[in-house]
Amino acid sequence: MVSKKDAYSRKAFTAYIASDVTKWFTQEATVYYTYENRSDISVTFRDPYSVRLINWYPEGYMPKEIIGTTEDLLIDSPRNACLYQPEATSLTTTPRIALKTIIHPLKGWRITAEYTYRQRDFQYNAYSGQQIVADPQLAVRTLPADGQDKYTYNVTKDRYNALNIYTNYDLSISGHNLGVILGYNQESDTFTNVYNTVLGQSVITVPSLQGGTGTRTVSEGLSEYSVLGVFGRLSYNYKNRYFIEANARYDGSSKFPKENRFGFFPSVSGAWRISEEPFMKWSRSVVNNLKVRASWGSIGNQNISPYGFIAGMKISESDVWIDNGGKVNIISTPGLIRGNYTWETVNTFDIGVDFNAFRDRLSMVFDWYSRSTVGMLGTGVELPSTVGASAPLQNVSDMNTKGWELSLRWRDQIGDFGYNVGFNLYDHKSFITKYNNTSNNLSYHYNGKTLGEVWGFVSDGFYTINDFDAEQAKTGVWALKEGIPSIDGYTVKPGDLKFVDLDGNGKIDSGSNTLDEPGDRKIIGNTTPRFEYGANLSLSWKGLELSMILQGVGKRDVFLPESAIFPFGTSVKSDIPFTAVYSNQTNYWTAKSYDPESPDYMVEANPDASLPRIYGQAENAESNMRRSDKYMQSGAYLRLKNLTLSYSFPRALLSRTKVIDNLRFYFSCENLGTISSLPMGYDPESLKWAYPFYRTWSFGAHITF
Amino acid sequence: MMKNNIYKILIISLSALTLLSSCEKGFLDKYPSGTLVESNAFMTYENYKSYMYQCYSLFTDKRISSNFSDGKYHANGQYYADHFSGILSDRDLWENPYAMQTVATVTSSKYWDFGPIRTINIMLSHLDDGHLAEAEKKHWKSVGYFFHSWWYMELVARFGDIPYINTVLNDESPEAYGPRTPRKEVADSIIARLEYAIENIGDCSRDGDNPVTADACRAALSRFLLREGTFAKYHGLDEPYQEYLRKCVKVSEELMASYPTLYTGNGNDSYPAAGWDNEETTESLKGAAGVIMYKEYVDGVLMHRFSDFVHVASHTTDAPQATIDLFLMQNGLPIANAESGYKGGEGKDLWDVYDNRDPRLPIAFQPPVQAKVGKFSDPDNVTTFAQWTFWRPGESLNGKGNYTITEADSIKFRKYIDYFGPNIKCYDGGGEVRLGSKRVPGHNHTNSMQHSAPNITKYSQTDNYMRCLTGYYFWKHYTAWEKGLNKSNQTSDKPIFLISEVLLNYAEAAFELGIFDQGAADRSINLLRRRSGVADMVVSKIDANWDPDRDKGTAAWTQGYDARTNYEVDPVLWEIRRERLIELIGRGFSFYDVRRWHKAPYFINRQQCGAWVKAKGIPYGTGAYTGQFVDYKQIKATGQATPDNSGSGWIFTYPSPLASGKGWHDKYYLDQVPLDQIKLNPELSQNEGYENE
Repeated sequence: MVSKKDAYSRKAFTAYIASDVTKWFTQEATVYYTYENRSDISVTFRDPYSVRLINWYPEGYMPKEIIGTTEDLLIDSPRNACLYQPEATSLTTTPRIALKTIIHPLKGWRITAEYTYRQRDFQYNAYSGQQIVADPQLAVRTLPADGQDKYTYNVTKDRYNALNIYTNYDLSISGHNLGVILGYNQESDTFTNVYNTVLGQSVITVPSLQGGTGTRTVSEGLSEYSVLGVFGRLSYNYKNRYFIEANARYDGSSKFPKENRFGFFPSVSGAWRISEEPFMKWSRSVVNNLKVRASWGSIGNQNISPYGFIAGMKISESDVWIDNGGKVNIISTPGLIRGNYTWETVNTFDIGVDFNAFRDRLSMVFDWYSRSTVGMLGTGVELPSTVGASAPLQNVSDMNTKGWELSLRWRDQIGDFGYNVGFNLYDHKSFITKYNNTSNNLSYHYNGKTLGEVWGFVSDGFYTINDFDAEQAKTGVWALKEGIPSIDGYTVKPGDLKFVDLDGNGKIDSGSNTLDEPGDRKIIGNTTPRFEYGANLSLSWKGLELSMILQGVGKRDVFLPESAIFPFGTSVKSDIPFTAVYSNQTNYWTAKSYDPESPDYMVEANPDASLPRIYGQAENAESNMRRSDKYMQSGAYLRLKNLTLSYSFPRALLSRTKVIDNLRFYFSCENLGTISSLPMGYDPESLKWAYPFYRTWSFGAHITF
Repeated sequence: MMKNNIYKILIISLSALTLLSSCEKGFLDKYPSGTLVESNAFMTYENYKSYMYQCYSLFTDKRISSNFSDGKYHANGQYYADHFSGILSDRDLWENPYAMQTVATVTSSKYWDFGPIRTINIMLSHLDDGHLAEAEKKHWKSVGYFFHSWWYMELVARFGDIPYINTVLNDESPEAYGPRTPRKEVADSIIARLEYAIENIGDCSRDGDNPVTADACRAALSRFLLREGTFAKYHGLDEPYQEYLRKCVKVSEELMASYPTLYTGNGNDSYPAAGWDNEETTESLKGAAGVIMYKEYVDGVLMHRFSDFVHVASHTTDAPQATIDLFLMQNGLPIANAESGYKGGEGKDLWDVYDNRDPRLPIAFQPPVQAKVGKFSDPDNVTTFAQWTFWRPGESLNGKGNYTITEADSIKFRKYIDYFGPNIKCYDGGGEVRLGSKRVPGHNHTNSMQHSAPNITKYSQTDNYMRCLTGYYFWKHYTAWEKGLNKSNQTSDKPIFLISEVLLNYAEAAFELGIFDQGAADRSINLLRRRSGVADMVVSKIDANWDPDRDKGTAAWTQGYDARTNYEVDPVLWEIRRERLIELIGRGFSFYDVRRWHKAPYFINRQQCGAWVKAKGIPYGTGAYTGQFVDYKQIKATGQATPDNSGSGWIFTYPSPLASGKGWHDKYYLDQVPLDQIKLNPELSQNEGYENE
């Protein structure tokens, strides 16, 4: 960043105290406190990420002779926006206290009580300031306009309480190991906010809420939720060879209407350590551990907004009408509510194998799982517009995900030299197994839908002059010949993208946007990342260690926004004349001649062009930017996520100091490099034109006294 | 040991007790604060008022073509719909989808929306809760009926038959899955509800300083009755249209009695027809004559961008020659009439076209102005900024056109500068109302002056802003006084209901009933004529030859259509319709009008073209013309003409829709019922002509 305004500092304090008050009573207390201060650029005259009109913004200052002022004026370019717009600061303080009491009444029996209190206070101050800038159209502009400068002061508080009390009992009798856990849990969270903005500061250099002379907007909010539940676990193993475990939870949440608050979630698992079997004795020298396991469990999900079962009517200020020179207060229309929804249940079935061999140098873990989410909360039902409202929140759909994970590791130590190589690979696919979409409208989920699927058109090259009636073309009338498909809503011309007429009706369109009638679209790709993988490698020699983490995705179909691919690319049609052409977008279709009298009129100069023709105005550009298989990108990538070099001082040396037990220095780099085929500026993980991921270099020390 | 155990047990049980007691029953009961629910939201008069304020958004909802849009951008707002009727056109080669048959298949439509209906029905359902006095109940019922009918007016105009919902539905209501209610029933309900509202709305003074009143209900009723009555007549529907038209005359007369004068201006402009201009360009319309209801914009609270848009490159609206030809001469005669004194035509420049015309013409479409732009310190300089001066004879007009200015030229170049008043600030008006509405030469939102009006796109040297393709730049919202700077900073109020529209409704309804005589003309059309500075309409003089260009049902470009389209328009009706198209130009009424008259192909199929120009040597300071020409005389005769490079002619804008086998399709008189709604509710029938999509 060209300015220092983008800054972040974080200070953290942690203290941990544990005390054995008596032989059977231990008390622990942990205190955390973090203080984060982030400053950012406030937008006064320009959003630095905006790419609109980007070609026309020179950097620096506009000379006074050109613009007719007494001094050179600042130009509202992205660089000047970063340098001259004021800062906005965000302050977050998070104190957290955790208390833990452990009691041992009898041998094998332990009672634990944990209480956590966490508070998060957030304060945001921003002032837009006011700048006089010159724009390329030679206007002198005061931005924001007089009386429109805005001062914002927002405060939010979040208070979270959690209490867990549980008791364990373990018993071992001649090879039979039994364990019992019973517990109780309750949590509550309260979030409040106060947002204030005021316009028109009387003293621009000292902005404040009381210094504002213009319109004041103040609002408050409250959001609370609470959960409580009881849980229990019974585990048994025989000689660490046969394992079985059963759990159960009974949870209630305030986010659901009274009658449907609670849910019951059981789970069970079993494992067999084959390597412990007597018949496996022959392998003991090589095989350290071979275990097969299987489990089935269910858990509840209540990750929705808290008051969904109440048809609230918000009161707010609105400029929909003016009364007495000011805004009016309106009460909003209530939505449709079905007061009978409850927890989403996630059922997971998993089978896996753990394998360790060669003195634990080799280890392998493999899992295959099938996870079903039952009763996902959503507005699944599509209602006819005559109802006048969108469908109420209900447990309407089911989803199933099947996947597998594999991880392999080899580590060894040869004298002073040690190494560790690990690799993991995982993949999954998700489907909608139930959804109330009777018309199978593609704008919503539908039964059998693969999540991440993308519907689009199939490209068939470009329209050429031979597709049109030549005589009429000379007079500017573009009449297609028989058999050539037209495009719904556009008068196509040579150089426009042509698509395959999949439904054979002579016209390229989206049908009725349903599964049975998608028009000329089909599933052209899927945006779910597939075959994700990671690798880590570390080498050590005496006290020195070098480690590296790689991460990547094997296959992924990605559809970037229009501005990344097409010249004058944007999704807003009226903005097409105001966007830019980038250096990787110049291979567009052109004609040998644009003169109607020439024999080469509208004959393609570059039939292998990768982009369709460009227009002076919007014209057919929107049709050419539609989603098709031609412009699908690959989101596969490999990223060097971390590289760390560290040195630990030998114990012998440290013991001479008599104080220090451990000393280790490290130097690491995050996000060192990425290999990806996407255009520069697009990160394969975020896929957005926005604040980029950082490359962080850090240096630290670990000291134990 | 015993003691230890006792201690342990004591501590454990104490903790257990304290914990259990904290587990209150109400721990999981959490309710939001600061919001209401239906059972307590409808208690007082003020509650109803706050709730119904939401419906005022229907006055700026873009989906109603005659509404001002929400004020931030003009695009898709009011005059967008005038492109569909062929009255206005687009500089940037945006083809009329109704002419080129590129109206896309409707899979889902934002127009088929019953959200406002549900909002109103919820309010109506609470009126009998017992919290309001009788008069208050009737008042809110009337307001609810007004908005219910206001939205249904639009639904009927778009779709014809439409489900009529007058109760609150939920996701299990069978009525949501019913068939479309026949148009006639819906129309009767709209009329009955508006009539109830007029009678019972009573005292509106508690609703704010600019609320819906009985007069607003009357204006809406007048608009609907004319629209539905004429639609039924010309489309051959089985509806009592004569009754509708009689009611239209009656309710219009009630309004005409309450609003006897038209707005003549806010005092800052002294050119003819300033009142017509100022209806849309005045800071405050409070108390203005002839304004029945208006939308208020206030600095710092709610602002728009209508005028600023016209100053910059993003405004692409102009008009074809045929629309300009609709304007009468100042003497009241159509230009094609032998005695009109019309000077324009082939080989003539724009000064001839605008000379002695209806004063509304230069207010709607920027007249020709030539000024020398640059930095000068001549004594001739009229501006406070050294930005422009008048041209002198002997000087050469800038640009590759290379035109030497004569004595006569220097007089006509300044004609409209003197007519409107010179642009003395040449920069953002900053809200100073004394700077007035139309001033020339124009400037963009900063301080770049317009070198030439017309500023035609196909010339080699043009300013990028205030640019058009045909030579007739639509600048009705242009003001010199409003704050600009490329943002929504503007505060001129915009009218919602004007008596001028009611006068036109009255005139047309009266004619359809056969009672339009000179008295009726004097009460309606001639009030508009006097305000705009055009001679009165004398009914007796309007015979079959009054306007040779009148639509006699024989136009070459409508021959493929049936008798419902190709009827001869009576000479007096033709003049009434003309007055309506001109008075309401750019306000989104024309597409409703051409469809209800069943005359859409007449206006839409004819090939459009711009003003007459030469490739080189014309008196406009914009360089050499590089586009093609067409022969407008041929278009007037046959509806189409092929473009050529002959060096002079009318500006070629768009090819003829008929040449490529397109043109108006009769199914477009109604919108397609969205396909996703039919899939959800198979009881819904589709409109004629769309079945195969």
